[in-house]
Amino acid sequence: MGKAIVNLAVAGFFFLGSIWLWCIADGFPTSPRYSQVDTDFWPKLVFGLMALTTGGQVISSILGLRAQLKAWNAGLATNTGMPSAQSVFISLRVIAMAILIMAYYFGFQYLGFSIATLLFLWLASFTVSFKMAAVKILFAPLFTLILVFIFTRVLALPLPRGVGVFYDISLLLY
Amino acid sequence: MLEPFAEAIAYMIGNPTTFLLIVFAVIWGITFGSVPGLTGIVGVALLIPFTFVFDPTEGLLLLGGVYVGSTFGGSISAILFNTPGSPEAACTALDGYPMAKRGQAGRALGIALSASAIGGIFGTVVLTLFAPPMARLALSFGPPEYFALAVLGITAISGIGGGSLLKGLTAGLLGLGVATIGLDPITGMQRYTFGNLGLLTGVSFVPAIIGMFALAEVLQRVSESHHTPESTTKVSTQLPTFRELLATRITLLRSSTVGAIIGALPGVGATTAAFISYSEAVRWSKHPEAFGTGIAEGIAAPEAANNSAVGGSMIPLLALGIPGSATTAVMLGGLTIHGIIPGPLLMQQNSQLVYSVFIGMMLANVLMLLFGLPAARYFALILRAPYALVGPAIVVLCMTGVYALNSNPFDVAVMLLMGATGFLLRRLQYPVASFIIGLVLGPIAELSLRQGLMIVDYSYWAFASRPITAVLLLASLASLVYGFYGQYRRHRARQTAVG
Repeated sequence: MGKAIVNLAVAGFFFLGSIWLWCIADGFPTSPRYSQVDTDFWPKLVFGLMALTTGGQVISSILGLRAQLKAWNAGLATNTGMPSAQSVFISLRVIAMAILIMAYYFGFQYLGFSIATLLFLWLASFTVSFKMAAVKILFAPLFTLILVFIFTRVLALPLPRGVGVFYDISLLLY
Repeated sequence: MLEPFAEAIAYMIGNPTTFLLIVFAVIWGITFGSVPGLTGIVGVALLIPFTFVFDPTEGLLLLGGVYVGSTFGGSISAILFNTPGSPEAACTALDGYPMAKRGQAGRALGIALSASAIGGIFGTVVLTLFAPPMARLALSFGPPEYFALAVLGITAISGIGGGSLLKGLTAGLLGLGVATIGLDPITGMQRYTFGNLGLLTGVSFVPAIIGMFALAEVLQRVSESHHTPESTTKVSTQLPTFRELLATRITLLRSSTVGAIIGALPGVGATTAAFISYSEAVRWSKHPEAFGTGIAEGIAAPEAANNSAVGGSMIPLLALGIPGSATTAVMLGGLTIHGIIPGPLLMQQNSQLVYSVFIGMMLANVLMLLFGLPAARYFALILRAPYALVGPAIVVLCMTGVYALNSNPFDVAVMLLMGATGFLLRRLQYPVASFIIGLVLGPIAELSLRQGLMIVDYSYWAFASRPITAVLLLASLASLVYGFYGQYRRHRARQTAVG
C-alpha cells in the first residue's frame, strides 16, 4: 500500500512538474528570426510529452491504489505497511551518509581538500558496519595523502585549499 | 596503399621505441580510463607536452595508444563498482555491474575486454581501408540525418526496462528535459537556469553520469541490510570461450559497424556510439527485457562500439582535419604543435605517418588484451576491502575527479544532485538507462532538428524525405511500435502468470 502511495505521489510530482516547466518554456523570450523553431520549441515538445506519460502514470497509479484499497477492505491484504526496526535503522544510515556527503561538499571548499577528506573518511566509515576500528583510523590519512600526492604532484591538478587558517595548513601539503 | 603500408611497417621495425611507447600509452590509458573523473581526454592532454621530445609519428602513436587504452579502462570500474571511469563506459555499467553482482565479475571483465579488442581492431581495419570514402559519407550527414540517428537511439527507450513502459518513457523524457538546461544552442537565450550562472553551460555529462552511477550506487549499498556476498569479491578475469564469442557474433559485428560509422561522424563520439549500439542490441534481441539484468550482449554491444568508434573518430581527424570526438580534438592540438596539418593532403604527403598510426592502433588493441587482464585483476583486489572503506573512498574519488575537471565546485553540486536523482529513480524502479540515453542524445536531437528545419525552410516533408533520414526515421517508427508491442506482450504474459 505504502509503495502504491509513493508511486502515485512521484507520478503526480512529475506530472505537475512537467506542466510547470512547460509553462516556464512558454514564457521564454522570443526571437522573430527563429519564430518557428524558437527557444521554447524543444522544451515544450519534451515536457508536453512528459505531461502525457506522467498523466497516464497517475491514472494507472490511482487504479492500482483503488484495487489495493478494495483488497484491504475485503481483508485480503496482510501487509500492515508499518516499517520494521531494521528498515528504520537503514533509512537513518542512508540519511546519515547523505548528510555526511553534503557536509563534505561544503567542507571541501572551506576546510580544504585534505582536512575535509580526512574527516569525511573517518566519519563515513562508521556508517557501514566494519569492526576493525584501527584499519578505519589508519586508512583515512593514508588514502588522503596518496590522493593529494597523485593529484597535486603527479598530475599537477588543483585541489581546493580552503579559506583562512585552513588555506595555510593546506599550503604545507600542496 | 601497399607501398606506404610497407614503409610504415619498415619504420616501426626500425624504431623499436615505438613499440615501447605504445605499451606505455596503453597502460597509461587504462589507468586514466579506470579512475572516475580523469578520463582519456585528461590522459591525452597530460601527455601532449611530452610528445615534444619525440618525432611526430611517435607522438601521435603515444596519443593514439592512450585513446585506445582509456576507452577500455573505463569499463573496469564500471563493471566492478558501477562507477564508469569514462563517459564511454557508462553504458557498460548497465549490464556489467549486475553481472558482477551475481558473482561473475571476471566473466563480465573478460567479455568487455574481448569485445573492446574486437571492436577496436574492426574500427582500425575500417580506418585503414575506408578512411577517404568514410570521410565522404560522414560529410553527407546533415542535421536531418543526425536527428534521425538520435531518434533511432531514443526510440529504444520503449524496449528498455522489463517493468513499467510509462516509467521507462518518463525516465527517458526526464533525461531529455535535463538536457535542455542552459543556453539555447541556436538563439542563445537562457533556459531553466533560474538565474544561476553555473547552469548556463548546461548539465555537464561527466558529473551527471558519475553521480547517477557511482554516488547512487554508494547510497544504494548503504541502504542494503546485507553484506557483500563472498562471490562478488572473488574475481578471476577470464576471456570468453570461442563458443561464447560466437554466440554474441551478431551483436559484436553490428556494434562494431555502428561504432565505426558513428565515430566517423564529427562531433558525436564514442559515448553516443555506445548508447546507440546498446539501443540496437535491445531492439534486435529476442529477450529485450533481460537487458539491464547482466547479460553478455549488454556488455559486448557498448564495448565493441565505443572501441570501434576510436578508429572511426580518427577518420575525420586525419582525412578532413575535423575532430570526431573530444579526445581527437585534444589530439588535433598535439598534431598542430608538431606542425602537422591534418586533412586530405596529409593522406597523400605524409602517408608513412598515417599508416604508422593505423598499425600502432591495431597493435594497441592487441596489447590491450595483454595488459587489460592483469589491470582488471589488480583493480578487482579492491573488492576484497570492506565497503566501510571502499564506499567513502569512492565518494572522495568522485568528488576529486569531478572537481579536477574544471576546478568548479558547481560541477560537484551537479554530481551530488544527480546522485540523489539516480538513487531515487532506482528505488522507485525507473530505468536509469532510459534517463542516460535521453541525456546523451537530447542535445544532438534538438540541435539537429531545429537546424534541419531551418535548412529546409520549415518543411517537415522535405526534412523527413531525405533518403538516409527517411530510412532511419522509418526504422525508428518500426522499432517504437515493436518496442511497445513487446512491452504489451510481456505485461500480458505477467498478468496471465499471476492470474
